[in-house]
Amino acid sequence: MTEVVLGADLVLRLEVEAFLFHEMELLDTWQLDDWLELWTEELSYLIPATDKPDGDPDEDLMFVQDDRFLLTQRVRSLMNGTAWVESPHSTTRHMTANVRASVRDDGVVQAKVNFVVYRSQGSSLNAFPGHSHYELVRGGEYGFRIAKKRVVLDLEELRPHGRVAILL
Amino acid sequence: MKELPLIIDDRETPKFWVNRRTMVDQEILERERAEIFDRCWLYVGHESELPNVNDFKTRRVGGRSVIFTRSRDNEINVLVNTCPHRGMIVESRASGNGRLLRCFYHGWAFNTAGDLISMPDEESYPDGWSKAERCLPRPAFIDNYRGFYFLCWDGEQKQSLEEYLGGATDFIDLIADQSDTLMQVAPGTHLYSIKANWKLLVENSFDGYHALTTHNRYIQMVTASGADMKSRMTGRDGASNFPGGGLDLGNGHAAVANADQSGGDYAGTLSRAFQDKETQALHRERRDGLVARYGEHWTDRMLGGRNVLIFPNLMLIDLGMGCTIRTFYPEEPDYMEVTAWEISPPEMDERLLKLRLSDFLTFWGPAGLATPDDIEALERCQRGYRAHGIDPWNDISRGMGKQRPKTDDELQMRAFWRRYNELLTGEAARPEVEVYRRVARQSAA
Repeated sequence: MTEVVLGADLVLRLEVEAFLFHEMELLDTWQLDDWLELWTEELSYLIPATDKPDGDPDEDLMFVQDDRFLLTQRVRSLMNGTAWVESPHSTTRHMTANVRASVRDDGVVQAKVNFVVYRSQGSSLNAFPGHSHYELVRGGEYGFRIAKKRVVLDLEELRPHGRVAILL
Repeated sequence: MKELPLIIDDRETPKFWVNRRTMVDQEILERERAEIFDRCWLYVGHESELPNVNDFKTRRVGGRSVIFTRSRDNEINVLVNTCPHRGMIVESRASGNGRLLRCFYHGWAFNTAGDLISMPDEESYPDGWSKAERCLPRPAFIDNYRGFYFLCWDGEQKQSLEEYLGGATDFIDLIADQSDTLMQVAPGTHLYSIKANWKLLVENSFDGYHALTTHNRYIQMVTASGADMKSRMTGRDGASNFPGGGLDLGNGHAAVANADQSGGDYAGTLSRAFQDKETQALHRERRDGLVARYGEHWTDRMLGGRNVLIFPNLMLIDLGMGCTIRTFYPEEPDYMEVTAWEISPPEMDERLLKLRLSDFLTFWGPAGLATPDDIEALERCQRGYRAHGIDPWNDISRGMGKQRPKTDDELQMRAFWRRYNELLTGEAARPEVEVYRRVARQSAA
């Protein structure tokens, strides 16, 4: 019995990892329109402020609280050259590790992930370490769609980075 | 070789030029610290950040670490975060609540009013040595205007905070009056940085001219949300009984401001459109409440747009859809640290508050759809100043000579630069237009 459960957990983790590796590849190759396709219609992309990592977007000031409309606008501006901060695009590398996946009672797959994203532009290199919490639903070409992604930066201040203009 | 002046303020041509050396020179930064940051009133924090007795926040103000506290007697204090014993930083946490602030080096402990309470082996100190003489140090002056706390490091400062603020007090009233009780700073702080000179952020924070180009993507977003951008952006200056435009508030303070002329149809030029009638009704309700208290005129000013500089490094930007308190300090000539808070009326309906937080971070946040582009612009300016020996001059002449400069002119920047130049060189300049005078606040109560 124990072996069966362990096997199922392992398969789930591999499925989630395969999905996340695909997501990271789309981000690092700036295929952001395809990346947007990975999300469910209703979505929530959150980044809390560095001094309020448990921030609630209803009450607290966040860094990002995009719904589908805002995330679509964000992606559009990153791709059409009007986001000056990413024009030209910087070079990024998303590293994902320590994936822990589980299935909630309602079938939603929850994944906790540690990450570091490197961003280089010109002579500057910044690292964005953090951890993300995904809510994934089964479906789509790559096995899942993202309903919710909460990205918590392991930084106490956004310094000297100054900004988060890329997608984490 | 004679050094070029810091500014050229030519009223005849007219033209106004600023020397790019002010953006790159270490010696000028040292003079700014001595003549500006060590002498002016500087913003510390807002009363609402310390709701409970023994709450504290640590932060740097004018380059020095301070502890902003509410002590047991319910007083707000600003203590310098350095132990009187050996100088160590006493409190390293960003915020907290506790009866004692304890220096771990030798165990000296202070209460939140800064009094030295205890230390190990007090008996070994000589007779006559007094704990009362070894409290946490304080700035020369601390004062507040309607919950906004400031300090001044200079014991020679002749002006009280209210005298120093002058006409700028109206612009703090326009924020504070939005609440029946006390405006509330939201939890969550934008702590970021820009690899650029701090004065570029002064200029950028009330630069109406850059909005359409730098913030094209933000305006595209607002338009896509269903807002009629054209009616929001045009014909706003000078159309109401508050003339609006660029304002010299005196003492280096300056603003661009206008009044809401929509009668409550929208919550600010740069807000995402209300997506449903319910939210719009809530907004009208809020406006009606303000009109009942303050009348149409003051309410229209309150709900209009205002980008206000409190000299030298505090920006209060209220664009109807949200309000930011933003302060910044030069760590290096080409590097500043920026701290920004959101402030709201606590009685605001939670649905409006949620929208307000979203609009705020999307416009002013360092991960939003506008501020990262400002940061990028300022950093590229700074990189351009490596050529300051080839072209030494920034041009700030826009709208010069007009009796009534507009919000996308640059009068407000010239008011800043003239005061800046006066503090560094001693050369005073007469104002370019009549200085804004404080009006009696039109409280209905």
